[in-house]
Amino acid sequence: MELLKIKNIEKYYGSRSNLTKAIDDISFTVANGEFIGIMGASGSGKTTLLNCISTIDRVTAGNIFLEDTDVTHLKGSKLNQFRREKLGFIFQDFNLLDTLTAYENISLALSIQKYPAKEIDAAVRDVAEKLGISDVLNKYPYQMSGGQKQRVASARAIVTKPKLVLADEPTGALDSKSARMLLERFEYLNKNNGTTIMMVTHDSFTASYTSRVIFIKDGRIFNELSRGDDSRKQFFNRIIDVVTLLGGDISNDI
Amino acid sequence: MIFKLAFSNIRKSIKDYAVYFFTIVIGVAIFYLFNSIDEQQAYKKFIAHDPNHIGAIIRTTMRSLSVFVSVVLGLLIVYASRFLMHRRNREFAIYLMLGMGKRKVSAILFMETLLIGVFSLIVGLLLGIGLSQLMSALVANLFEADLDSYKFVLSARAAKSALIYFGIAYLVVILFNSFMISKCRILDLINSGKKEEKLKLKNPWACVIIFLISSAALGYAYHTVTRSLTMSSKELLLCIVLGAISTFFIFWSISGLVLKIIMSFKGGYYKGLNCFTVRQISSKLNTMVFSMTLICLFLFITICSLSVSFALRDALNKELRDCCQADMEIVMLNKNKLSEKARNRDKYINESPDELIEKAGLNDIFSGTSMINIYMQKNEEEDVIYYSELLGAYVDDYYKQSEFLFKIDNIDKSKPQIISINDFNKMWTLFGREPLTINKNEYFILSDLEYYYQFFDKAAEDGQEISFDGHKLTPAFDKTVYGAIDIISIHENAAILVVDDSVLEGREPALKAFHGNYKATGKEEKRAVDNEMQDKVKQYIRDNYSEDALGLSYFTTKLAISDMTIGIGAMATFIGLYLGLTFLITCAAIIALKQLSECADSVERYEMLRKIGAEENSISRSLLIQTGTFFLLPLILAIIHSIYGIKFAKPMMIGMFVSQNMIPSIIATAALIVAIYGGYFVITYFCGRSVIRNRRK
Repeated sequence: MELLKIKNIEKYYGSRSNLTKAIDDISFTVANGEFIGIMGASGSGKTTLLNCISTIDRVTAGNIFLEDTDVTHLKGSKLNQFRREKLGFIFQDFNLLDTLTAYENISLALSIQKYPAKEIDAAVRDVAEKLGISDVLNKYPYQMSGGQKQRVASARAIVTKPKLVLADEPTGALDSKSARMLLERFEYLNKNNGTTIMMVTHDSFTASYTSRVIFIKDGRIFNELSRGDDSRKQFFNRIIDVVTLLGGDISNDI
Repeated sequence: MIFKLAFSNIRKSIKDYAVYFFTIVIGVAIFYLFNSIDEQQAYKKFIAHDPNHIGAIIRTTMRSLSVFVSVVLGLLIVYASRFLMHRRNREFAIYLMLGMGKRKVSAILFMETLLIGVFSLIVGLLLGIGLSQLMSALVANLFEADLDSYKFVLSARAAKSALIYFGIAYLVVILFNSFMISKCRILDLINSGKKEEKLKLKNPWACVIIFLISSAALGYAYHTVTRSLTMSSKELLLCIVLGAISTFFIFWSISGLVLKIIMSFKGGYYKGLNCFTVRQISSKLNTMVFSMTLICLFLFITICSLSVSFALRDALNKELRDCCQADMEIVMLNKNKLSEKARNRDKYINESPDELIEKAGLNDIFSGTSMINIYMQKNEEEDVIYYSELLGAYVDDYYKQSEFLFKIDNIDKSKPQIISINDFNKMWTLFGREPLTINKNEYFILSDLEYYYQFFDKAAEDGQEISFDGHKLTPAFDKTVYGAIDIISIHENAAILVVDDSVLEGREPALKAFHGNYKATGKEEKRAVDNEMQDKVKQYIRDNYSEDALGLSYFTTKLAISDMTIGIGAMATFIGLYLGLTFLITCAAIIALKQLSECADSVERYEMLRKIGAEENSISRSLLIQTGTFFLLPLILAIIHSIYGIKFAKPMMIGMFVSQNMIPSIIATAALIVAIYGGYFVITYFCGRSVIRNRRK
C-alpha cells in the first residue's frame, strides 16, 4: 500500500529573470513500511524535497499526498496539526533542547500532542528500550555522546508513532561507530515496528542501509536503486557505481 | 564609511537597542524633570517668601541627589551596553576576520554609541521638557500655589547638566567598549554564541534547609524592625544586612527548589510545554540569583520611598489643618515669674502680649483675639499633679504601650500645664468652637495625642478623681477634649489640665498666650498683615528694650507654619519620586535586558519546538510565563519586604502619634509601579516574542 505519493512537484526560487529550479518535475511513491534513501550532491535539491514533504517549504506546482491528504493544500493550524501527528523529524545536528534531560526531550513530543501524563512514561521507556538509550534517560545533552544524542532525537521522532519519519543527514555529525549503531537501530525499527523512514544523505555507506535509494541531480530523478535480495555490501557497491556515474561529488569515505 | 556602517548597524539591531534606548530616554527625562524644578513657576512663587529657606534646601537636595541618580543611570547604561556588545560578538569577529583593525572596530562602536547617545539625549530632553509642563501642575499642587496663567517652563541649567552627566556616562561606555575590543580574541568571539548550557543542580535538601533558615532570619528581621522603635542603630543595621543576605539565599534556594517541586507534579509537569518552560526558568534563575537580589532590594527601596513620601505629605497637611486654629500666636514669659537676676539684666518685657500688640498699634488688624494665662506646677509645691494621677488605673497599660513603642517619657515625673475654664473658653470661642461649662469641683483634659488620650478617656469614664491644692476634682466629661493651645505644625499636646478659675486663685501664671485672627482674608493679604505685625512688634521691643529681649517672645503665624509644611511635604515628594522612579526604571531595565538576551540565546530552542510541532500560541504562552516570572518574583518579595519596611518607617517619618491612613499613598505607589514596571514587562514580552519569531535561520 502506498503511503506517500509525490506527483510532478516543482519548486522554483528567484524571480522571472533569474530562475532557479530546485526541483524540476519529480514523481515517486513510498510504500508503507519502506526505508527509503534520497541521495544527491550539495545543491541537487534533496533537502528542498525533504522540506516540501515535511511541509516546512511549499511547492510551486504539483501535489504531495500522505495517505489521502494533499499536504500542499493544508494551511495554518491544520498544517501544524498534520506535521505534529503524521510526521517525525530527525536532524543532522540533533536539535535536542539542552536544558532538558533525554527523558524530557522525548516526553515533550508527546506532551505537545496533549498525551495524558500517565501514558507518557510508558511510551518513553518503551521507545528508549528500542533505541538502547534507557541508561541515559536522566542525562542532559551535554553529558551524552553524539550517537546517544542522535538516538534520543530519533526516539523523540518516533515516540508519537508518526506515519513517516523524515531524517535529514542523521549520521552527518557522527563518528563511524555511532553512525553504524544508529543505522542498525533504524533498520530494526523499520523491520520490527514497520516504521516508514525517509532518509536524506550524501553518504553511500549510510544509504546502503535502506531498501531503496533515489538519486537526485539538478532537481531531477537521476536514477533509482532497489536493494532486492542483495546483501548490504552488494547494495553498497551498486550505490558506489551510481555515485561514480553521478560525478563523484558524493563522498564515500567510510 | 564608519558612519554608514554604524548607522546601518543601529538600524539592523533596532530591536536590541529598543530597551536600551527607551531606558536612557526615560532616565534623561527624569533627570531633567527633577533638575528643572527650580524653574517651575510655583516654585519661584514659593521661594519669594520663604523664611525657613526650605526652597533653597529643596534645590540643593535635588542637585545632590542628581549626582547620585546620574551615577546609578550611568552604571545602568554601561551594563546595558555591555549586554549589547555581547549580543554582537560574532559580528565583531567577522569584522576582525576580514582584516579590520581593532582600532577601526572601536571606531565603529564609538560612532554607534555616539549616534545612539546623541539621539537618545535629544529625545530624552524633549520628553523631559514636555513632561515638565505637566509637572508644573504637580508642583503647583505641592506648593499649593494658584497658577495665574500657563507659562512654558524651560531650564537651560537642567539641560546642560543632563548633557554633562550623561555625556560622562557615554564616555565611560566608549572607553569600556574600546577596552573590551582591544582585549578580545577572534576565536572567543566566534564561539561565544555556541556554548552548551551546563546545568549545576543543587542539593534539594540543602535548598530546603537554606530556604527555611533564610525565611526564619527574614522573619526575625521583620519582627525586630516592627516591634520597637527603641532599637539601636546597630540592631537596625543588623536587620538590614540580615534582610539583604536572606533575600539572596531565598532566591538561591528557590532557584534550586522550583524545579524539584514542579517536577513532582507529574501531571502538570509533562503537560504541553510546561517542562520546557520550567527548565528555562530554573536555568535562568540559577544564573540570576545575584541580580534578582539587587532588583528585589531596589524595588523595596522604590516602594518604601514612594509610599512613605506620599503619605508624609498627606500627614503633614492633615496635621496643619488640625493644629492651626488661629492665624497667629504670641507666647511670652510672665515677667512676675522671672527670676530677680533676669529682671536685673534688662532681659524682660513689661507688657503682656496683648498690651504689646496694642502699643505697637496693631489692634485694628484683628477680627478677634484672646489672651490666656498658662500655669505651671513647680516641684516644690505640695499636691502636684503628675500624668500618672490623671491616668489612674491605666498607668500600667500606658507603660505597656510605651514600652512597645518607645520609652522616652516618665509619666511619674511629668506634670501637665493648667489653664482656667474662662481662659479656655475665650480661646475656644476664638477657634470657632462652642464654649464648655464645668462645675467648681470638676476638671477635664485637653489633648490631641491619641497615644495619651486613649487612656485619659478611659480614666475619665471611670471618674478618676484628682486632688490639687486641697481641691478634690472629678472629670466634667467622660471624654478628653480634643485640641491644643499652641499653633504648630504637628500634634504634640499630651495633656493640659482645665479647671475652674477658683482653683487657680492666688497663683501666678508662668506664660501668657495671645491668639488672634486677622480681618484680612486671602493668602496674600494675610501674608502682608503677618509681615506688618512682626515688623511692628519687633520694632517696638527694640525701641523700648534691647535686642536681647526679642528672644523672650515666641512668635508664630499660621502662614509661616503652613509654608514650612508645604516645603517639607514637597521636598519629601520630590525625593521619593526622584529616587523611586530612578530605581524603578533601573530594575525594570535590568530584567528586560536579561530576558531579551535570554530570548536571543534561546532562539534555536524555540525553533526546535516549532519543528517538533509546538503551536505558536503555546510557545508565546511559555514566553509569557517566563517573562512574567522574572518580573514578578523580585516584585513579590519586595512587596513583602515593603509591608514591614513601611510599618517601620511610618512612625519614624510621619510622626509617632498620627494614625495616618496609608491606603491612598499605597494605591498611588502601586499605580506608578504598574505603569512603569508593567510597561517594561509588556515591551519586554513583545520584543522577546518578535526576537524568537523573526530570527529564523
